[in-house]
Amino acid sequence: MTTIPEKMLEGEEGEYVTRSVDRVMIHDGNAPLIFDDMEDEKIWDPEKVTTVVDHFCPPSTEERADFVKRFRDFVKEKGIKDHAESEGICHQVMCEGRVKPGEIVAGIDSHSTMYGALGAFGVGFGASDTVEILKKGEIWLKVPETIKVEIEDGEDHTDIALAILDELKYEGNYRFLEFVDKTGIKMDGRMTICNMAAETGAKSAVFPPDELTREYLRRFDMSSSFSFPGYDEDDHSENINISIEEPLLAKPHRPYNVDKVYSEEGKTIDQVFLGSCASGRLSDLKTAVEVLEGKKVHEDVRFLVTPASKLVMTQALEKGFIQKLVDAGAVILNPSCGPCPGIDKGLMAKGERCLTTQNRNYPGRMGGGDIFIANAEVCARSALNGFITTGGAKDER
Amino acid sequence: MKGRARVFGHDVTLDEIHPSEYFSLDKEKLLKGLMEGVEPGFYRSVEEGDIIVAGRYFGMGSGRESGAWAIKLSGIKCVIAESFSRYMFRNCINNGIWPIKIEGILDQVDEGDKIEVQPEKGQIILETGKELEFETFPDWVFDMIRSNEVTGI
Repeated sequence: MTTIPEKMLEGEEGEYVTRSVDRVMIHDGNAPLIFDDMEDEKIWDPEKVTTVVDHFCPPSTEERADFVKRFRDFVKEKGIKDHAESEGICHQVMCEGRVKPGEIVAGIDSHSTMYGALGAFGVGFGASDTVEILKKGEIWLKVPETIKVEIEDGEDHTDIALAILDELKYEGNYRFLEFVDKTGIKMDGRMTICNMAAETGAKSAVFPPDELTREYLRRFDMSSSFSFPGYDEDDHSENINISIEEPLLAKPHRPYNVDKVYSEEGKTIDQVFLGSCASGRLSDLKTAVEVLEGKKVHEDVRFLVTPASKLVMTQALEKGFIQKLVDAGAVILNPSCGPCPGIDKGLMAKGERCLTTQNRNYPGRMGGGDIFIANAEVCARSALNGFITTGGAKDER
Repeated sequence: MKGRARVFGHDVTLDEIHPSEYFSLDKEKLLKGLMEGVEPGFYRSVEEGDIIVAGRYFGMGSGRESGAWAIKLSGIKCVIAESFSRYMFRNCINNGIWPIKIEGILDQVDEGDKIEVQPEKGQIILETGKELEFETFPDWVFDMIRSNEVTGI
């Protein structure tokens, strides 16, 4: 056994294994699908379960309010102690003091790959599989092939994620991505890249834990000693190299429909959304503030900002970022999923366009319009100008 | 198992198979969302036993199991695709829907064609009589699909 998933899942590549799970995340957006099946069941270990209300947060319809009400009842009935409501988007909440390197972390959500930023095997499941995990504490998995992704050059984490998508398209399906960074990506960036690995179809993805991981764990008073089952010793059949010359964007309607921002320069936009579990972290907000400070976004643009969690919101308030964004014309939404999956606030009319840092741009994802994905700096610059651009504001309005 | 082919293209996302606004525990609402993102009103045209035929990466993106629930509620018991997202593959198994992988299937089937599926043999028979093989499932996966066929939503 030589690859990281072989070591973490304890099986040979291609083998079916039944693996115990160290931690489980359930959010309100999919929890309703497990209520019936869990009705008469006990959770194998409620201490290992985190429940998060972030999709219907706060609920925008009576039906959704009912889901959240039933979810709260479920949490109490099953003896779950770690319930995070209005604390932030589930994956961010999990990465703020819950996930540890080397763990197998199952989430009822496809972006659970994000836990790989902390050196965990983050993997998503549907509702029925989640019920199995909750009952038994284990699940069947096929040990995936590994693709080693060497990041040679690139300044912004969203650009790096887009460059990986450009290279792999959806060929990450069923596979595992191991990242080797030569550019000094910070933890926020690792989270974006592991999160958006889901858009390649990857089962899981990882930045093997290192000094940066330890430093991050210490910030959450978590022990910086951890057990990671070992680093990769293999020469993979597939290695890809990532190098970026200029900012990228994903055009409608697939995240891997990647081109240079320049190819869409000048296209008018109606909305800019800085947020989602793919971004909306402090570094993204800081990038936007650096562009927007003392300026005003274009009058025809709705500029929506969602800090990824309450903690990120608090830090952004302390640093004065929120005030500066509000002064520039931003609408600050509460930490939640919101416009990204088209749940609430900031949906588009048909024919409108949104530029965003989020992870998906499928048709109908955010109402009727077209979604373009780019980094926080491009989003902020474009918000000022009212069109897609890498350049500065035309005038200092 | 015999049914009418209902043909879709490559890269059909889960958000198109079942848009998030149809997420519900109300069976009627769940059913109405089926394929609404690619073919509005599709649910009205479904007959018991219809078979979805699609290209590569059927169900890519989200892992919301409401998509598989809607397929099951419609009476569709089998999806034949060139490939599946891992979420859709697992969600099909867990809902008793046969997820069958056949390379190049899109080029060989037209909308409305009658297809016969024999999971035990790892074989499908097209309207023309042509037989196509597929890699059948490990016994335990086979048993899982069979046992989930009968349980309700």
